[in-house]
Amino acid sequence: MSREQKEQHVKGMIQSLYRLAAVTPVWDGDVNDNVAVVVEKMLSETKACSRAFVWVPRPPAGRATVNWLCMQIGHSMFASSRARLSQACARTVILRWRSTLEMAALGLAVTKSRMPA
Amino acid sequence: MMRSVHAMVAALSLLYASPGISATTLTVRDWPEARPCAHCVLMQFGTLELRMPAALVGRVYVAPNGPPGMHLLPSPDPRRALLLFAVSRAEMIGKYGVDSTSVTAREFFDSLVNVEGYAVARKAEGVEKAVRYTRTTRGASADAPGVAAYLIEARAGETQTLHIAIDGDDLIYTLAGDISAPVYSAVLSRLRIVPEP
Repeated sequence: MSREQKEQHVKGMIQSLYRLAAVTPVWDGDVNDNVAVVVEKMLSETKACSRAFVWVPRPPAGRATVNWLCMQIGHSMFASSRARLSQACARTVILRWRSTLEMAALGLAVTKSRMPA
Repeated sequence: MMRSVHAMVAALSLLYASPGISATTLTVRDWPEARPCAHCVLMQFGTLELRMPAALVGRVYVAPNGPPGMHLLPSPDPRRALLLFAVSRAEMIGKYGVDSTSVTAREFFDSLVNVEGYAVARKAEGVEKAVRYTRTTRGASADAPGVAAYLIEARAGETQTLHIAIDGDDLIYTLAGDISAPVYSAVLSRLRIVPEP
């Protein structure tokens, strides 16, 4: 996969979760490694309210990248896990993280002080 | 004539593109007036007590685990759902690099549209693209602190956001979802700040 395809894959995952959560407008930002960090945190938070993404490991050194996300979560794995995620869980996570995700898309690194919870 | 129109559009584009100036302004509106409610449901989330018409609430869902939040599901259509949750001031405004120990929630939300340093927060919170950004306040009384509510009104059909800041409280409550005019009025008009049971 090219870098562009990887970014598109990550964007597709985010947008799919927004659609499940029925949160609109669906996110349409630019994917970068800061966004990947937030996406990993979001998937990690879903583990508290659902077992759908419980198989996603922690990233090495605690910091996800676009490459790492794509390596861990392929299209079919994401689709089957997303199908097991409840709407309520997705909505809670998206609404709690969407401003942080917007920040990351603007290129701002998500530091500990910027992390909700 | 066309040239002056183009010049005006160009000037406005520059003005709105500037990170220091927001196209959205903060509008102040009156606190919704309380009306009697015969078939209201009494709910409490944290210190927020809501008394809402049953038809606007539908099913209330609280997950047994995961991040805390109260889902109001007035219909099976997920687009009509509402989520009430709370985050600390440090989480909400600290992530923008704002010193949450010296800036209150009210100061932050009041300044979102006119402080240059808040350009990122404006964008991330959806104020930049909001149709309207409004504030309504209720003063403190002998037994209740003052409250300010900030509605970030998105386009029709999109997810609406209402932040509720209580004087002296470290938590900022957020209601997000299909905040119609009746929901807005129902939430705020009979809102009480009460101790946790």
